[in-house]
Amino acid sequence: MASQADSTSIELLRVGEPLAPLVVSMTTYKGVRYLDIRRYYFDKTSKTTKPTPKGVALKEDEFLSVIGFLSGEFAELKKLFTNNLVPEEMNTRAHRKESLARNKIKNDVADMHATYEKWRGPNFFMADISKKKIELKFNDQNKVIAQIKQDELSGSEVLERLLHSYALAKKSIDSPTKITPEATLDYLEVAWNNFLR
Amino acid sequence: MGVKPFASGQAFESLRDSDFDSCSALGEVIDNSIQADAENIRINFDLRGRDTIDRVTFVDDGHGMSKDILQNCLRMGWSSRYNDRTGIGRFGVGMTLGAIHECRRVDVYSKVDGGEWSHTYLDLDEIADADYRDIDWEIPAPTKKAPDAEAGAIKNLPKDHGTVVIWSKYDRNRDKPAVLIEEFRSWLGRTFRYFIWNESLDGGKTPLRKNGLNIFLNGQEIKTIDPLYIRPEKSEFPDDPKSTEYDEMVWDWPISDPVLAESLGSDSAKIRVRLSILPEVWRDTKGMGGKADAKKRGIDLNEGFSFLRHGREVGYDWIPHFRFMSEEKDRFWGCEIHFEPILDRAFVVKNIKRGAVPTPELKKLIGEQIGPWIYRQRELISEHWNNKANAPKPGEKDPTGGGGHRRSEKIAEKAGVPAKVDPAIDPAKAQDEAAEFAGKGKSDEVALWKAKFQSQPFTIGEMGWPGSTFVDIHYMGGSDALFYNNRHKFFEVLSSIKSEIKKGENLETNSERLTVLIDMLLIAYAKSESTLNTTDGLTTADAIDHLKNNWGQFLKTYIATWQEEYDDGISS
Repeated sequence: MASQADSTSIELLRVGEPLAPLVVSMTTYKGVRYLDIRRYYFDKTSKTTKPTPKGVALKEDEFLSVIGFLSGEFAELKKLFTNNLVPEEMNTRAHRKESLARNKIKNDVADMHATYEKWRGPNFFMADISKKKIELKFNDQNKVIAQIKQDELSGSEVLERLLHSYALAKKSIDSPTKITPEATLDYLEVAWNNFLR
Repeated sequence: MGVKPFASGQAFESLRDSDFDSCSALGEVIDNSIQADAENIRINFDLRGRDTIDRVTFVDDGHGMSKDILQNCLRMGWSSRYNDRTGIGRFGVGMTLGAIHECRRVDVYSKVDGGEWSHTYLDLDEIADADYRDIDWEIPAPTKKAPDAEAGAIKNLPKDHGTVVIWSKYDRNRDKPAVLIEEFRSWLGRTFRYFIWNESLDGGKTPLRKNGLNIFLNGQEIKTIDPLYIRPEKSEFPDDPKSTEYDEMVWDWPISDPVLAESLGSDSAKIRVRLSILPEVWRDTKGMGGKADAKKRGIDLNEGFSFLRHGREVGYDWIPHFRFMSEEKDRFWGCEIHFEPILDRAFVVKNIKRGAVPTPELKKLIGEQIGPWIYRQRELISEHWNNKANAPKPGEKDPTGGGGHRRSEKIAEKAGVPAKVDPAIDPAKAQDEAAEFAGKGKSDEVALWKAKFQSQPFTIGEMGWPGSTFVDIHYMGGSDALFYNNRHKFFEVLSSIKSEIKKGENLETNSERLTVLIDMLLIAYAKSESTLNTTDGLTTADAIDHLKNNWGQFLKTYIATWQEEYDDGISS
């Protein structure tokens, strides 16, 4: 069996859904280089994506033959996906295209506008996501936010305090409860504010 | 020997029960006139007595039909624009299917520029008779005949070119004619509003058509009905205040048919979403949408999304199985979703152009993108109602609360519970701060609050603020103030219970609800107290903050669960 030192991999392209992407990489195994095209899956334990057996590792000569064929016949091959679709194929294709379009719109980064205000609520920030431009408000009633506003903390201190309080807040939420995702987010915001001090 | 695929008479009789309603059936003729670039469309209902429609006449000054087109215009499935995705037509069934949904005979007269009037017709009685005799009935070849030759005088007959459609043998009166005519008047004003305004569909300056459109129903000009309330100028009430319009959303959506996509050179098309909220004057208090003035403006019917296909409204309703249910407040905002016919599949547009139901993915997208906006509008509407309900009456010096709160304040004053005053608090500064908070910076309200703080040891006020705290306490060195967050579910539910009790409704249920509400309040407190940990090393102030914050949050969750699981009738 080859040791890990026998094998290296450089990722070149990742497409498709983040939790089940298709990854193109240049791998080396026992001194031979391959162009590897492979489906990955999300491993819940390590919280990373890992390769599945579904894929192919092309040797240099195989790669050149396949890519030569694909580029020469690109237009005709493209048509194979759309020619004479039966209604079921048409519906499935439409559903997938719509799903991709929805995800693209969802993931478009919205513009943001941030201001400092004072309110007596239990949250150190509020984000109005109902508008095209997200309006983010920071509550300078919170001592740490007031310090940030006055530039009394360095960038690393701000980051450390935010992440530390976030970790404590996350820890404080009872795990498997019946509360809705919306309420969980509310709890997290309240607890985050409580620990940011 | 072969047989005909269907018996025409019976087939036509079956087709009469298509999914039109009367307005959308009548509207098919208007669509054709618009496609023919008509600038003026006149519709007249002739009645026989009060309860019977004798005939409906449609007159337009569009470019008219050549004899060839005229002969075919009543053929089911034939269209000079079949599958055309640039205008509001496409299917080639509307002219006949719409007519036979309502009546048994349709006559069409048309004249092109420089030509003469020609006529053809379709008559279900003649088709049935031919069927009975087992002979084929054919749509007659157009003959030279002016519309007023047989049909009697036609008002405003165009001189140069145009089309006249007459529906007679009207046998599908569902409502009294007067009811249908009024319903049709509103329907025309809504459905064709963009054509009457001649407004650009891409947000630019290119008008929708070369010229605007005028529609007259029984001689009266149709006024627009705009669910966004941003263009009152051609409505019945041109001087009405306008809504506030929000940023438009534009989405690229895939064209599902690859053949169409290739012919267009693009695999996606734009969906535009326009959003607005009505001026406060039309949503000032709860229940206002049902008042006479609001009804005249169609606000009482305004609950949902308006789908516009190339500027023509094809659907207006709540989206079936949307991510949440509609509620009363939804009549006070407007949402238009614009798309071009190239995206018909994504909106499941039927050949009768009635109703639009987004595909599941599109429905999800609408929920994700517009849902938070709808929630926000509901909050703003509630907040305005609550502020209005708590505002001082004219001449009243009390800035908020009133009624029960005043009594509670007096009790607090009389009870003389000993108070420990924190010497670190500067009473004047603390009162200024609290008054500023309560008066939202408005100088007259701030002054009223200050006067109130100074006149009594304990003040109770109601106002709305975001977040899950439901009470806010201001310690002001001896005169304290307690503010209720009327945006919190607790007070929304309390207000709903109070309102029903005042009207004498559901007394027994509401008495039970009050018990549950008080239980929820105390359970949430107990739960919040239990989360405080003595080993956390919190200062007293921080511990109080934690207790208060969690109390509000837990209370919100408990009440939401109560509403969802046990009492969905209780609402704000």
